[in-house]
Amino acid sequence: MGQLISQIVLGLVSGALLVLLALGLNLIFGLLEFINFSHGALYMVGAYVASYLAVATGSLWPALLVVPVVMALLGAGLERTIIRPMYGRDQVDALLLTFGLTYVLIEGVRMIAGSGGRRVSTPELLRFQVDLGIVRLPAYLLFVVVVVGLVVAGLHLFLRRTDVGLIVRAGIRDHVMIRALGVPFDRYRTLVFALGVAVAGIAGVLTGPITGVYPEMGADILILAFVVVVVGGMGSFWGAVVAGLLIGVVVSLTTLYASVYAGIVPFVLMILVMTFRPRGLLGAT
Amino acid sequence: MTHLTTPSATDGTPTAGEAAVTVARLSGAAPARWTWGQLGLLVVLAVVVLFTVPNPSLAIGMLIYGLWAAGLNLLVGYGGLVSFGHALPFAWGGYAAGLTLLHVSSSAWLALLVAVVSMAVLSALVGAVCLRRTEVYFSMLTLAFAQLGFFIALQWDDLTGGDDGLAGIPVPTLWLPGTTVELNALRDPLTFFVVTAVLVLVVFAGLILYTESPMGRVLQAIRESEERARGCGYSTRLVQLATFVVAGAVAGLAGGLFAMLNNFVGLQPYWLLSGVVLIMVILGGRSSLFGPFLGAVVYLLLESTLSRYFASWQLIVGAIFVICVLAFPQGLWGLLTQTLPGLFRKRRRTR
Repeated sequence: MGQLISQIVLGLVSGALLVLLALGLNLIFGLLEFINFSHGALYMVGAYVASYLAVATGSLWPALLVVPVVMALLGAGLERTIIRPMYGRDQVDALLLTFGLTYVLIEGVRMIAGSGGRRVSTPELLRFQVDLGIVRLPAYLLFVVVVVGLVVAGLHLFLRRTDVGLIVRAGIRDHVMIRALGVPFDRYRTLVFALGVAVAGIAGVLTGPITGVYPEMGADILILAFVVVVVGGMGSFWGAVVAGLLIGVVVSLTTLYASVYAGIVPFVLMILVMTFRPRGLLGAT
Repeated sequence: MTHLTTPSATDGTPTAGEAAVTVARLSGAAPARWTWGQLGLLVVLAVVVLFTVPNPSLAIGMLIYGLWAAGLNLLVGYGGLVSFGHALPFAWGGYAAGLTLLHVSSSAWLALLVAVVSMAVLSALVGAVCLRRTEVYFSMLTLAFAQLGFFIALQWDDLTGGDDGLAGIPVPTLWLPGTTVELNALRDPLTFFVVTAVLVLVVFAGLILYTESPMGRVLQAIRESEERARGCGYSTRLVQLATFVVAGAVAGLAGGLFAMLNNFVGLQPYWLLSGVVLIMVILGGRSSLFGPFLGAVVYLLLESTLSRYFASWQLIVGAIFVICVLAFPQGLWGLLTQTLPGLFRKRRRTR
């Protein structure tokens, strides 16, 4: 029983990280109308920046604040320089561009930091176990779930309760109309891309102490994040949250009971969803 | 909902096929004069590769990768369907051919036939799911299927050899009218090269025929506007599915040939190549079938030279790719057939 519960919590943790990536992908897809293939690579860059910061400052805490800012600036820079020329061109071109960017980022990191991974130590404050009665869990895992919860809540409030969020949501609905109303739409595109990348960066910071950082860490999680987006429904905020946690837990439980199938399960789930409910669990028609 | 049908082909009105041709021509698809000329260019390229590339297995690899990339370009360039999982049919073809050679017979024809036919069937099934939604959904679903295939190949090690790969594939024999030859890439690379070149040329001609056929034209019309093509009465999904099957079968053939070339099929080269083949297509140019061949040759040349001097050679390839998408979306082919002649024309005019 204890094993089952700890496995479910592990699944929720990996699912929560997937949620952060999927939400960024979803938001960028909604407003900028392309899938950011480099999202996984940017998550990896964020994790690396955090690992160096953690060594330099001796703690992960500064990274948790600095990395989102750095990643937002990086994202804004990328959007302004190489992604902007893609607007108005075929949707496919932006996808291909970010695909090429992935190569550059991964190889760049490999050149600077080497192919081997780096370990990131858990903040001292969180190096204890929490006793939940049936099972004892590392406090850091619970911390990750809390941070992800806060980020998701923050994003939700930003989109629902602020004027900027209102314009972003309106732009997702109909950007032609938004532009006709005189909104400087380009700025909002930069903002949303930067925001998505910053959230991916936070996911990178949080992952460090769990699995360490390595150049290919973005590739696998990106594919899973795609699966989450598709299963949850493209463009659906809560769809991504539900599907991310669901896939995290399902994969985690499969690892416990039938580890051979753990890699296959998310894709089978996605194929089932695409066959019987192509718009995703919570997607709009 | 009523089902729209094509305007009936009574006297005077254009037939469905002709209408599709017009649509495609208007949309500025492949310039007409280079249609069959590409076949000649491919012969020239094969001869140049044969005499200039010192490493025979690299030379044969160029033809195989070129064929694979040209098949993918049916989807990417002609159909506007970017597959991120084209390693799946390549690897499947490799395993199918390898297993046939290992367990059934050493006939090259049989092995390739099994690779192509089984992959066509599998493509029909995969395509039926992937094409439920197009554009980004399609890209992500193909990626997911490739990943799914990778995990299956990794776990089912009784059959595929798992992480170690399928080694010791016997040298196939090729039956030809009057004679049989051994396809041994190590001992007799020239025969292997010629056989591959002939096969590649025949399939390439078939691909040109496909893109020039009314169905190929409809495919391009769908890329321009699926709504309008559907409005014209074409069953757009069916055309896309047929193309998916053709591209899959071609990749299956390429994978089978690659397995014969190396006498080996494994996770390592096979499953990691979805991105590489896509780079070849974009680098070479997606507006023609010959472009991807150019892309394959250039990519493999870059790989074999850069990797000797520079460990992170993929950084350069990635940067070239990004620049290519930004500045030369039509790739090398576009550069050679449109940009350069354009420069000459301008210079003449100013004179």
